[in-house]
Amino acid sequence: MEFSTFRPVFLYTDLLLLMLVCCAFVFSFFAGRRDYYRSAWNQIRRRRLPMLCAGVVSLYVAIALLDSVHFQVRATDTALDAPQVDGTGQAIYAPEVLSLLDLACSGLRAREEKTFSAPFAIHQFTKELVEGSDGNFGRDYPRLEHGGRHLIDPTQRRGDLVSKVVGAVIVGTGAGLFAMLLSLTVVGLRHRIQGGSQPLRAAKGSVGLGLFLGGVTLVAVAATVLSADYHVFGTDQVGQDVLYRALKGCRIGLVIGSLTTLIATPMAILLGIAAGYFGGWVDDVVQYVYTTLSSIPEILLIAAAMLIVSTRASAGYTTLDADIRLVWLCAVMGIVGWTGLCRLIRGETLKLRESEYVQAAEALGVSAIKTMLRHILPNVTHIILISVLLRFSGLVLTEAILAYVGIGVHPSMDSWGKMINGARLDIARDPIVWWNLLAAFLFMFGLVLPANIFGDAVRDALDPRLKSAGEPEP
Amino acid sequence: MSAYIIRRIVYAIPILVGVNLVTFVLFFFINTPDDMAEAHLGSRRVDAEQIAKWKQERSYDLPYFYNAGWGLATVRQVSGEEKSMNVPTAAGHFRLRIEVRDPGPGDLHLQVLESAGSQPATGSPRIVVLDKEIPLDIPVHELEFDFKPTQQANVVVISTPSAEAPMAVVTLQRQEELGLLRSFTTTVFWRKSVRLLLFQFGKSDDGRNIGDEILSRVGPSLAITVPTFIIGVFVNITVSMLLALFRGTYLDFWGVVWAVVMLSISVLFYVIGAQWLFGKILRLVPISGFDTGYHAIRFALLPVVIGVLGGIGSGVRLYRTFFLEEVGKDYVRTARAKGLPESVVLFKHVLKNAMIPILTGIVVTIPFLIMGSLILESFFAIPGMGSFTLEAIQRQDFAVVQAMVFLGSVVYVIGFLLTDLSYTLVDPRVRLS
Repeated sequence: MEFSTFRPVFLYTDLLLLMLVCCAFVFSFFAGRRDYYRSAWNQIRRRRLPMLCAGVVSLYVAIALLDSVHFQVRATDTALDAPQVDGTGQAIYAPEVLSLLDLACSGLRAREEKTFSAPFAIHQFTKELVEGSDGNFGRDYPRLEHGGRHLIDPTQRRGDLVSKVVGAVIVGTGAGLFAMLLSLTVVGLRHRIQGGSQPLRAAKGSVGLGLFLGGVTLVAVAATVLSADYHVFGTDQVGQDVLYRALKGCRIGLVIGSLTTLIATPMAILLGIAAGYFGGWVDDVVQYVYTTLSSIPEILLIAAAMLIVSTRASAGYTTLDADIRLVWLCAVMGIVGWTGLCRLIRGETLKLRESEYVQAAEALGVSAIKTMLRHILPNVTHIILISVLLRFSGLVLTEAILAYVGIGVHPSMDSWGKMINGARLDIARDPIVWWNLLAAFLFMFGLVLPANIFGDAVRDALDPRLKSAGEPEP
Repeated sequence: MSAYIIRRIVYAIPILVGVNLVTFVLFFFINTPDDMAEAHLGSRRVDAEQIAKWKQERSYDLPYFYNAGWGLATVRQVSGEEKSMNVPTAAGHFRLRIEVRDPGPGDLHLQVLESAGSQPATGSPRIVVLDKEIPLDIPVHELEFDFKPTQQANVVVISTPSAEAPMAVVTLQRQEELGLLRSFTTTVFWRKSVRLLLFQFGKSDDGRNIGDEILSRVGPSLAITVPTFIIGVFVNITVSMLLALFRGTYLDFWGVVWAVVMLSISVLFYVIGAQWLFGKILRLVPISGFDTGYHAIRFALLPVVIGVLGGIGSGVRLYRTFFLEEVGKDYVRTARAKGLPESVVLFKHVLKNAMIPILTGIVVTIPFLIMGSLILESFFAIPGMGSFTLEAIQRQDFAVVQAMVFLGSVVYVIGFLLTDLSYTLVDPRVRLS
């Protein structure tokens, strides 16, 4: 039998995310050569909490990137047991677009139940007509098709869960210790060879790294082992695994949080610097545009623009339609949201314009464009970086509200906002169905809180004005 | 002072005009009335006659900027069968506009008849005014013709050869004398956009008077937003001052952590959690609904608490930095050197100075209180402005959304004016000129 082939699919958001990652690399290369950013980075690196948060956010990024490599599997003809071809001999691909994350979670995707089931449950949440052991039919909670199927006796569940968790803890501790030892060895060797000045601090860093990697391994192993036999976060109304839906939400959350800035930032930089540098009528026009745009209530403008999208474009139900709608959503939020950053950059440019080095550049006859690129842009980058990081979490939260209002992502996409919105009805059920909401809450909170803390740390490190405020060192 | 206010109000006009232009472009160019009608009437297979009727009822059928006097009379959609439309018997100048959706081979047979009976099918003698075959491979045709005064009914009969031929939409329009002023005022731009500038909101797409709706909904909105605002500001300032008083200690550190945790939680969770806890488990307050008068308190209690809780994280974190910035300044050191106790320094010196940046943030939001809260009002079923807006968004009621966008920007402009004025009250260094 021929190995089933696949072809890569590039969605717009995939390409834009790739572009964003490239931008991030270019920026870190650029920033790594400047003392200002290097010292800021060293300052952040020494603080444990922000580094932990950066680690957590990068886990989300990893999941989102895995979920951003899309492909289509070649359709197989079941009758011939061979790959399908169309009339002209071209290969036919299954219409479903999958990602690497789907591939990794193919078990989660496949293990669908009929309807609700609680986390780690082995019985369905609702009663159904079932055949008893004595052959009589009665209304009872049926066993789940997949959750806890391997258990013969339902009472074994507790022991099974405990043994799996203990196993995960052992593996996690081992991995953590291993990473710690490895890192300590590297630090020790480097100290031997190079003779660094602060071996104790480096050793502390190794311990932190070990703890973090151990924790990640523990959670990953526990999630993998447990989700193979149970539904860790239960199942939703149509029996889909809630953990899978929440994992899929990671990409949407990150795409909305980051692509929006990718779309908004260039506009803000261009107009902000131009307005501040040229002044005169350019300044008047830019100021007028951003005052007008920012005077429209944000959510109403997004709503108005998204209503238009939903009546015009992407009315279809393919993955591409959903993707176009997501790009639109980011674009709309970006267009609504560039005004604040533009105002900041304009203000900073006004100040920089009067500085000696810009005046010197002008006196030497450096062209306006070159001055802006070489002398002004590098000096406003920290503002851009801070505002991008601090806006990120707000955008993730906005997505939830937009989903509630009904103007969020495409109906076929699983976002956290949609999970919350759907869970509203589940909460009203009796007995209460709480796991949908819990999963959305945990995943969202797990991204937004670290993003906020890390953003704050970057701002403290980059904005010298706030350093004087005397932040306490925990 | 009054000269300053007048100048600011004059400055506001181009901004409001700009907002109106943005919404006009959004609602009428990017998203045409045809799209709105399709969205409203539901299915994609809705026909041109229904769309025309929908647009006519809401006067979206008018020209955008200049009305040459062509009033819409009748619309027919032809594909295959024979259709007729009655022409008003009065004499006048008429125009037939034929639009072909997907141009292709085929002819449209078009006859304008003067017939004795009201029905063309009765076989009564007909006098042909116009008899033409129109090729369907060109997207738009326009034909003009005149009717002389006559007692008999006039009928336009149209048919295409078969259902395979391209579908054509035939519009019959009659020219009226409008005069210069009315040719500008009977347009979409005037009725839907310029009128907003005069605060005439017109009717929503389902026929309700938007102005009346707004008046009746402002009360419930204010019942939620005003207490939320006052209590929220009070709590935020108190807590952030407490943290500033204990700056550098563990209380301060954990206070900031708690604030960041609070602001990392979506307001939706606060609503759902509080509704579940207080409404369902403890049964202290009704889960949702609203009542007038004294009973409104019972319904308003939970939304207000949630509103305050939802804003506390970001408020405390922000105000704390304002306080800390002031605490580091020279005048504070002087005050301490004089031997003043820390509480006096904080309340008499730092609070007053930190109020300036705090005011910038909060005064601008005061006029927004009348816009209500989208999330709280819809969760708690409060018949206020927020739920009105939200329903409009969900029903795709463009007239209401447009009115709300406009009202929101008016409110924003007022907020900025108030902010500037409040500066003169709290900061003697600021002089408006």
